[in-house]
Amino acid sequence: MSHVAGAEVTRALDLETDVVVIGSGPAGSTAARELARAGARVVVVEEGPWLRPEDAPPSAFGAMSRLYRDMGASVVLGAAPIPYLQGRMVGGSSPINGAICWRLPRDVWDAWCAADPSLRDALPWDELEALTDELEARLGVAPTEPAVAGRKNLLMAQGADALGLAHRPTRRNVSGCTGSGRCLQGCPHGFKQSADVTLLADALAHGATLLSDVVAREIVRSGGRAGEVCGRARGGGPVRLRARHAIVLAASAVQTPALLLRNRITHGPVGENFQCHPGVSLAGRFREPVRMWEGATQGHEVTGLRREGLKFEALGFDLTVLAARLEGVGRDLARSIADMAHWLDWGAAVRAEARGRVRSIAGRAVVTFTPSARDVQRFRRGLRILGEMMLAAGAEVVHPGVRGFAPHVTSPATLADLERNGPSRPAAYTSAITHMFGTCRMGRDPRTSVVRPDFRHHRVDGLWIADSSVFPTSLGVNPQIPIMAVAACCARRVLAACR
Amino acid sequence: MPLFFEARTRDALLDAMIPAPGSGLPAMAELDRRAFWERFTSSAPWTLRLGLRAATWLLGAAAPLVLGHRTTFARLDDGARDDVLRRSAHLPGGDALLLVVKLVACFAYFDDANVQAVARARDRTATETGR
Repeated sequence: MSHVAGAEVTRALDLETDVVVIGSGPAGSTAARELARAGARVVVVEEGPWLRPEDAPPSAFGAMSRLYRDMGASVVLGAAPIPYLQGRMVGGSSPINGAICWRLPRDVWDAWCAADPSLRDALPWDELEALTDELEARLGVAPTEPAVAGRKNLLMAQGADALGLAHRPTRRNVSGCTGSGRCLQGCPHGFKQSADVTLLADALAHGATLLSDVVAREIVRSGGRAGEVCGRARGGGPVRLRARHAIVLAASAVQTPALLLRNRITHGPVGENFQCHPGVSLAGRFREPVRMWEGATQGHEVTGLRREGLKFEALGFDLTVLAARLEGVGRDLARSIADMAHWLDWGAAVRAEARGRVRSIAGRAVVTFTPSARDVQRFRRGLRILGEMMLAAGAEVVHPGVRGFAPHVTSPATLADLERNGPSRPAAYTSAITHMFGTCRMGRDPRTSVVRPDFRHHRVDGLWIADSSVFPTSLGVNPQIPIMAVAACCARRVLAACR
Repeated sequence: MPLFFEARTRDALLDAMIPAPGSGLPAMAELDRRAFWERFTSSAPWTLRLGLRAATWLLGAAAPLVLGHRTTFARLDDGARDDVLRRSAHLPGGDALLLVVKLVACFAYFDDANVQAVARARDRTATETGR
C-alpha cells in the first residue's frame, strides 16, 4: 500500500507503471481496484486531499472550502446560473454525497441499447448486474433503518402515503450509521462506505499507489498513442507518470472532457451532450420541531414518479445551508434562524431533457446548460407534489422558493396553480445540479461518440474513459453505483486489451 | 485585500444580516470573524469573492443613497440598516446581491463552534418526544 501526499512533493517525481488512473472518485477507485486485483501496477492521481474521518470539518464552510470544487460555487452558464456540486478530494464526490444507492435501471439500459445496439454486447446486462451485486456487498448497501431515520424522513413517508405515491427508505452505503446527518460534510465517524474507504482501499491493498493533491495537466502523446501524464503536486514538484499500457480518465463528466480539450484531443463530440439532474427544493414549517439536521441525511425517497423524470428525496442540510434557504434578511432572517428547528426541506431531482456543453476556457472547465421548457414544467410539478406531500404530513406553511410566485403557501389549490401557471423562466427557480453525464459518450460511430463501446478512445491509442461522461444518457436516479459498475467493465476491457 | 472602507462596510452588512436571533444565539456582531475571513480569502472561489465585493459596494455605498438615506451603510443605525436590507430586494439585481451577503453571513455565523452548539441543542427535548 502506498500513498504519496502531493503537499510533501517539492521536487520532481517520476514514476513508471502499467496504468495511470486520473481521478479517485467512484469511477477511478473502482477501475483501480479491478486493475490492481488482477495484478496490474496502478497509479491513481487525485487533485484533492485525503480526508480522514477525524479530520471532517464540523461546519459547512469548513467542508465546502476544503472538499468541494470551488467551494460548491461552480455554476453552469445559461438562462439561469445554476450551481453544480462536485467533490475535490480522495474518493471524489462519494465522501460528501448523500450515500444514496440505485442500481442501473433496466429501462435506461434498454434505451441505451436501442439507440446503439453495439452496447448490448459491450455492456452486457448480466455482467453489469453481477458487478453491481458485488459492489453493493462491498459497500454494505442497505435500506435506511427506521431507528436512524429521524423525523424528516418519517414525515416524507407519511406525506407520500397520503398522496398514494410509492416510496421507500433510501438504500445507502453506510455501516453503523447513527443518523448524525453529516453526510454532506464528510462522515466524521467513518460510517459512510464511500469509494475512498472501500474500493480505493482495496486497490491500495493490492499494490496500487495513490498520489493525492496532484493535478494532472498534460496527456503526452507520441505516434498517436497516449503514454504519459504530466502534472504538478501541491508542494510544487513536477510529476511525470509513464503508463506502459493505459491511461484511464475518471475525473467526472465535467473534468474529463475539460482535460481532453485542454490537451487538444478534440475528436468527436467531446464536451457536448452534457446531461444532468437539476434539483429544486421546497421548505415547510411544522408546529413541532423537526430538526432537519438530525437523522440519516437523505434517508427516504419517493420513487413513484421516476418514469415522469422526477425523484423526491428528504434533504438533510447542515445549519448553514438551511439558514441560507430560509426566507428574509436582517431581523426577519434572525427570527427564522431562532425558529430553524421547525423547518424542513425536501428536494425533487429532475431528469432534464435539455443538453449542455463543457468547454475549456483559460484552463478551466466552463459548462453551459439551460433547462428546457419541459424541464421547468417538471420543476413546477415537482414543487407542487412536494408541497402537497408536506402539507399532508402536517406542515403549517410551505415555501416553494419560486421568484414571482406566492412565497408562503398553505393550500393545495395554490400549489396546483403553481404547476399550471408558475413562472416559465428557469431563473425563477432555486436549483442545483449534482449528477452529470454524457460528455464523452461511448458508441460505435466515431462521429457521434468519443470512446468505442469498449471504452477506448476512438483515435488515441492507450487512452480510455471510465466515468459517467461515457454514459449515452442521464439515468434519472442517483448514479454512483452504476458509475462503479460501468467503470469495472472498463477496467476489465483494459485488462483484456493489455494481455 | 479589501480597502478599510470596504472591510468596514462588509462587516456592517454581515452584522445587519443576522442581528440577534435570541434564544441564546448570539448576534453576528458578537462573533470574532478574523479566522473566518482568513480562510474565506484563501479558499473561496474568485466568483464568490467578486460577488461579495460587488454586493458590498452596491448595497453598502449605493443602495442607502438610492433609498433616501444620506450616508453609507456602516454609518446607519440598526433600524435603518434593516430597512436598507429589506428594501434593497426591490432594487434591480438587489435580490442576487442580498443572496450573496446572506450566504456568506450564514457561512460565517455557523462556522462559530458556539453558535453550532447552541443552535443544535435548542428544542432537542421536544424532538425526542416527537420521535
